[in-house]
Amino acid sequence: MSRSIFLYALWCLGVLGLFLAASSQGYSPFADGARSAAVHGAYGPNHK
Amino acid sequence: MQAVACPNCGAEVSFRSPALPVRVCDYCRTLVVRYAQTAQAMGETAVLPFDISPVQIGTQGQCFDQPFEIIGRVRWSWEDGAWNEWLMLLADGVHAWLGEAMGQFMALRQVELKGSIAQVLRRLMNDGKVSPGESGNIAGHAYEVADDRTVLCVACEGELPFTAPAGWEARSVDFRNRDGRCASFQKDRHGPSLYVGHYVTLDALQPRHLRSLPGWRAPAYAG
Amino acid sequence: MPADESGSVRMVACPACGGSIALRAAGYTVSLACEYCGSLIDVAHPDARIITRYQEAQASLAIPLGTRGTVRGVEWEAIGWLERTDGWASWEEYLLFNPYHGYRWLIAQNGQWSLGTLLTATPRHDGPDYLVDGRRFSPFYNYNTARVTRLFGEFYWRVKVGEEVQASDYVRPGFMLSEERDERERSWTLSEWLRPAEIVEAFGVDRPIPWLPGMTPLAHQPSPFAARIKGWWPIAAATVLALFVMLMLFGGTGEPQRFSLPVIPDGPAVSQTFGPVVISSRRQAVTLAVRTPNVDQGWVDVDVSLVNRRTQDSYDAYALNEHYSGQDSDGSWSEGARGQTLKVASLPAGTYDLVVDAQAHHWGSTGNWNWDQASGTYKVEGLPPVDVSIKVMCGARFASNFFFALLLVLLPPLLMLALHIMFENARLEQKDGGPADASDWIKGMQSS
Repeated sequence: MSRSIFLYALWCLGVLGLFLAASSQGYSPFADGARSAAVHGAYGPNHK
Repeated sequence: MQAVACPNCGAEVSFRSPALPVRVCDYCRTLVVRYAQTAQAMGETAVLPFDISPVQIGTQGQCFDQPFEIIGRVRWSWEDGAWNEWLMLLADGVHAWLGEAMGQFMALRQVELKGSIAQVLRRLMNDGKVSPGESGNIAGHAYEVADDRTVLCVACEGELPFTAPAGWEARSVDFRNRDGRCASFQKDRHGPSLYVGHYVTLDALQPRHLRSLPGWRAPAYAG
Repeated sequence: MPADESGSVRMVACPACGGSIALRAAGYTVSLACEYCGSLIDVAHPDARIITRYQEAQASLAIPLGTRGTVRGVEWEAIGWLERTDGWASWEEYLLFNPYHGYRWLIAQNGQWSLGTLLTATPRHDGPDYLVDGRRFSPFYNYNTARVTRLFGEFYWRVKVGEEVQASDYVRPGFMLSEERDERERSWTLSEWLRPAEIVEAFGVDRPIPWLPGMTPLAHQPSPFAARIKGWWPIAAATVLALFVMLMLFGGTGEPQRFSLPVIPDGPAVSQTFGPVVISSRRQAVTLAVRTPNVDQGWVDVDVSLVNRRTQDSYDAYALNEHYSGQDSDGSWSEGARGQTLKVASLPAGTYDLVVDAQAHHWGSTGNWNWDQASGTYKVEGLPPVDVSIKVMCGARFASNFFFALLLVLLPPLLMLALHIMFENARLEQKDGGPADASDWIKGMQSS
């Protein structure tokens, strides 16, 4: 196996790993929504 | 490699290359300079190699599906080069030739020039002109002209099926084809002759009793 | 003229005392000095001149004559050197010799090296190409005159400076088939491009430099990028397949929860809280399908927030649904999207409230206009409410992730392809005949 093939396989493994990590967390940099900084005030029952 | 006697002490001084002009004698440390006709033309004209060959009289091997032994040699020279033709005695008593030129070997057997003959051969028999690359059919195979030279016999040794006359000159035209076959047409004072065969490599001849060449390790197949 | 001469030998003796001369050769300079009386031999002395000329020629060669090197298991000695030109480029050729293997040529051009063998069998002509052992060679250089400009040393024929042959070259990646002819003979040589490691190990020459854009490769120089593309594409294919499988596996969505609320166009903004939406996995995305099937000639702006009951963290997204239609000279037209799918990323486990804020607007002059005290504008009264229905599912299939990963995976091979095309274009620029095209790039990908 030549060095370039080894390095490319490593690269693809890295991409796969990143994809796996993102998918398992339900994460995407292209998501329509994410956590917002603004606090909307208290919603719903939050007292026990 | 040419070994000369040191002009000072008489010990052997060897020049590995004919282009090398100077060596130091190992014994008396004299500088020995070699002069050849082309020494003055260094850088303008190439130097021809020494006449050394791994083949020698007494070399044995396999060719044309038979054992052979080298029994003689003719050296042909043309204006700017030279080659050897070694006479092979095959086991069935027939003679064949092993042409050695530019490190390549042609195994050839004489065939009779009769019957239907290719145009290019007819022209050669009539001292006509041929061009390299021109094709013709010889002994059932298609060949093309590889080269065309006027040659002079400069050396003979061993047992030969003829006596070489002084100043023996001939026209020699080589043919080769796609399958590794080769042919050679020769015409001299006595008339035309045709040889047909194929290229062989030294190892394919399964040679034994090759000449030992100082400074070179003989390959595994050599005896 | 006989071709053989062994020549005569002489000893060089000190002209002053007759003692033996020591020869010192360092680089280009040669000095001959007597070991006894120390006098130097005049460089004009014929013996000294010959020695000096030989030494000078030797010193400038990349491989000094007499050097031995092992190539592919066979030991060769460099015995002759010549320089040739075809009027466009010049190159050098070393004649290698081994008495048991014959001769080979070592060709040096642009710092790249090739090993050439004289063929004994003639190649087969097939259209414009030639075939050797079934391998196809395509035309590259067409009948150029190659002339010897400099030479030095020993050759199996007496080459002279100025000697000319008509040369044509045919190539396949890594190999060149050369035809040389003059009035007396026609010969074929097959040369193979040597990898830098091979030639450096054999003869210790300067390491050939790898190709960079802007350099011109040799006619038969193989593209280093083609080899990489061929080696990489199975890995790329396997990775894309794995990515697709993972996309399918991880993209599933759970049971939907449906909510809806009406909003009046140009009426007040409405807000309603729905829920609970429970995220059970440690972290999960949420898919919200926001549909407003009856929006017409207007838009609906829907802001959604998933608010974690425990931490009050808010995860927001918004959808703008609209629909317009009309008639013009081409017939009726319509545009706009009545539904959108929102994907909210990476919510931590917990219970969430879905807060929906919606506002709608209607463009048009149908209906009555009334002064609306609240907003201080004229508003159309009596417009039917727009129904906003939201379908919430845990989990999301982010195809965008997949395509981004695909891009990352394909980036290196595409880069290699671009470099390969640049390499091949630079190489083919020197070709005699038609300009290069895509079929030449593909030929350049052939295996050697």
